[in-house]
Amino acid sequence: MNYKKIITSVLLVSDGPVDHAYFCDNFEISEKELLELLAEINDSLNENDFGFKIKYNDLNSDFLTTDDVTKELIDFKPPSILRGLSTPALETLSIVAYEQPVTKLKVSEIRGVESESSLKTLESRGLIEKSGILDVPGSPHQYSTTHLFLEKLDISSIDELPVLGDYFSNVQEEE
Amino acid sequence: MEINYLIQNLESLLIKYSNNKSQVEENLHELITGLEQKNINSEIETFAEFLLLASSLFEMKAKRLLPQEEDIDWIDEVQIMKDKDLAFARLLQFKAFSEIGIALASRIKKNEKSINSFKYYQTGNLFPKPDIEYLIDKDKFINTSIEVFRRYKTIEGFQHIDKDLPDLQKAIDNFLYEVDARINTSFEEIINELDTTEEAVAFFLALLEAVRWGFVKAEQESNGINIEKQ
Repeated sequence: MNYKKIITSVLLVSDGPVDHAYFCDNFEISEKELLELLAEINDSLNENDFGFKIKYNDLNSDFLTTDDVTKELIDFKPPSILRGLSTPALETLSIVAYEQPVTKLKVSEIRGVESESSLKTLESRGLIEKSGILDVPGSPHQYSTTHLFLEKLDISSIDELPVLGDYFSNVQEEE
Repeated sequence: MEINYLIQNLESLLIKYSNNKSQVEENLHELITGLEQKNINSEIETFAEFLLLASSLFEMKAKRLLPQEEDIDWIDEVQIMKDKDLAFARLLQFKAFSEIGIALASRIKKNEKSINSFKYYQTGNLFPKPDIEYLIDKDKFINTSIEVFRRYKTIEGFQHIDKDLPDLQKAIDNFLYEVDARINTSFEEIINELDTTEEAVAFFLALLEAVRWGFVKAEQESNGINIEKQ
């Protein structure tokens, strides 16, 4: 079976990244072998000067345009997910990223201002989502970052976010 | 041990040379120079804590060296320092999140130079949720329905379902707004201005939530609940 042919065709028609498990299960190959195949495909694409490559991490893979054709793609490029996002929204995003799952009240407490509109904006962009309800009076929603957020940062889990240090999570306890 | 050396140094400043301002500066300089010469990599946390302690003591000492017209309550001074430390920590935390937000945006922007093959992220349903199947036991459902209809309008307990209960999140916001306006108040004083029992209940839940999050301090006494803004 020509695995490379199938991998490239699946990635071409897939709606988003394809989990490694899909290929490993269907081909009955190990993840290491799959990563070798992906690297080989990328080598071939690079040698032949194609304008796309396979982007892969520990979890999944997807086709992606190469960095050197960015300018030429300007007419086809979708609007940035950051378009129109204000500094307060970015602050809120970083708080949700590092403190998740987090309630609106906690975000507002850290920022010192009401944060509902920022959370709504980020939610509408698909960068954060309601991930649960805190078991306290009022049952406030808890917010967490989405897969899209991880993908936009090119990381596979929130554990890969830069380490802030223990200090920041202890501020409340000091109270 | 280096830390002992530093403590001795600090003691000499605080006790032996209590009236000599230039000696304060000299000792402070010596303390920091001594610290810089040590290998702090292995005990950075200990040294950081010690530095914090030393700087607090220096601040207190410096104040004592100034001419004093009135008695200073040193316990209050320590509390003020703790408050300042907490405020500073919060400021640092906020500043850190603010800068990280910009750093995250910068990274996203960099990654957006490349485009995925399928622009699904512009669509609403990014990750379709799996269908959830919940099997209903038909007999059990029928029995429950019969019981509900039998009890409907015959038991007081069902009447509250028709009422519009106040939104608790709004109650929390309103409650904090009221406390903000008063700083020191009592629960009774706040609920006196409410129109309905439901609102009072919501405010009581809001009070519990506000205490839990540390926004207010509440003490129950014989004549009611005193609330203090934190």
